[in-house]
Amino acid sequence: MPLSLTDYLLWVTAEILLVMACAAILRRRLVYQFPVFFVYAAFHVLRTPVLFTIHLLQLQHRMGYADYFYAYWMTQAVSIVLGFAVIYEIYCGVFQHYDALRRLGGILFACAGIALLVLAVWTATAAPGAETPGVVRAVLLLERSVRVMQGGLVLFLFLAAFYFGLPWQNYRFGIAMGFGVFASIELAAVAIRSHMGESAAAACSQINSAAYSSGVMIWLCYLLAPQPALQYAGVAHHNDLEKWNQALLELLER
Amino acid sequence: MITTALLIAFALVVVGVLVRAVRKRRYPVPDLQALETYTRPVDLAAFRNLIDAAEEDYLRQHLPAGEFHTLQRERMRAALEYVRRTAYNSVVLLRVGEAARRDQNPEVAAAARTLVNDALRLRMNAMLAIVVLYGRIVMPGARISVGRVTDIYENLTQGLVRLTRLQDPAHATRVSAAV
Repeated sequence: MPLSLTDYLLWVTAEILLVMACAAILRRRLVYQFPVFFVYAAFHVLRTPVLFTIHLLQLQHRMGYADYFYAYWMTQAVSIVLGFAVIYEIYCGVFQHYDALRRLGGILFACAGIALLVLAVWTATAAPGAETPGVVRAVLLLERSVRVMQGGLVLFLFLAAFYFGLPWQNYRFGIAMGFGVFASIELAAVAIRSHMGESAAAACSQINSAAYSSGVMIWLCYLLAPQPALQYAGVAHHNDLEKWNQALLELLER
Repeated sequence: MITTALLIAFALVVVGVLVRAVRKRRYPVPDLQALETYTRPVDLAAFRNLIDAAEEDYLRQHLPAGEFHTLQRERMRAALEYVRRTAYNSVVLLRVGEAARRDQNPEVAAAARTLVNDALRLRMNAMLAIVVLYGRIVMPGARISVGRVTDIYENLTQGLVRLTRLQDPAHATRVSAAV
């Protein structure tokens, strides 16, 4: 099936942004800090040209639709697993600096994951199928369930950090934010697509691509932005100022 | 239709929380010299009295059941307000500790780490205490412990005084009065 110009533009935009995000990770030496996120981003950088090549070969009738279908879903399965691993990496990163909460990251991830899995299964069984065929319906249900879980995990993470008043490191905040934005927009799009059927397929596909590009754009912005300088309690600054004042007064008196 | 609406609502809630997180992210580090403008006062002795089991037993024995239940509900509401205040103050003190954690003076950094961990412990215990207190407002006759909120809060305020003494001894007394 040939894609529209908008589809190609969205595809290329996401790829360019992702390449830039990978470059920013390497340039800022964040690979050791976010190894899973880097693998996730690098995997997607490599995935897009592979899928694009298969798509072009399919248009030239040198490959069938089934080839693209299997290539997409096999890589999508890897992407989903890596996506959850990235969220887990952020959970651990947010809580690891606090003795009182060190174990909470893993426990919260597991508890939220189980609760959201139940929610995802419930929505999958309660969902109307519209007029979509069996395989597409199954794929949409899987996609929707994954987005429910990813969006929910990010939501739990932000709520927990908000409740405990934990400060966020800039990069970690950006990665979680990007994931949250694209998972929630994709969830809404897939839910509409499941409900309305084939008539909404093209629009929802473009919304999905735009959501993904938005997520990558958020990652890139946070990866490129300078880390804010660490703020210290006001007292230390006042004391420094007093010392400077004293030194200046002594200098003027000479 | 309902499932679709629920899923869209869920997605909107996620986006709403993310937007709120961006807005609320840049909070100022409280100035220790004006800490009382950031915190809410807590009368620890009065708070202890409200959740004291011996005090509760005394009232139970000397008041008619109906009157005891009414009074106990009022006491638990007051205790709930104190728990909320301690939980609120714990976030303020966490920010103070967080800002001092990477101080070059190892003593200051260690005191700040202790303050941060106590603040987080208090926040976790406060969450449970709030649930217990609501339960006790519904069932004033029940004997359920509120936990160690008062002890942890006392540790927390002592930790703050220790940190302030290291950073700015002149303000230690004033800071201790602010919490």
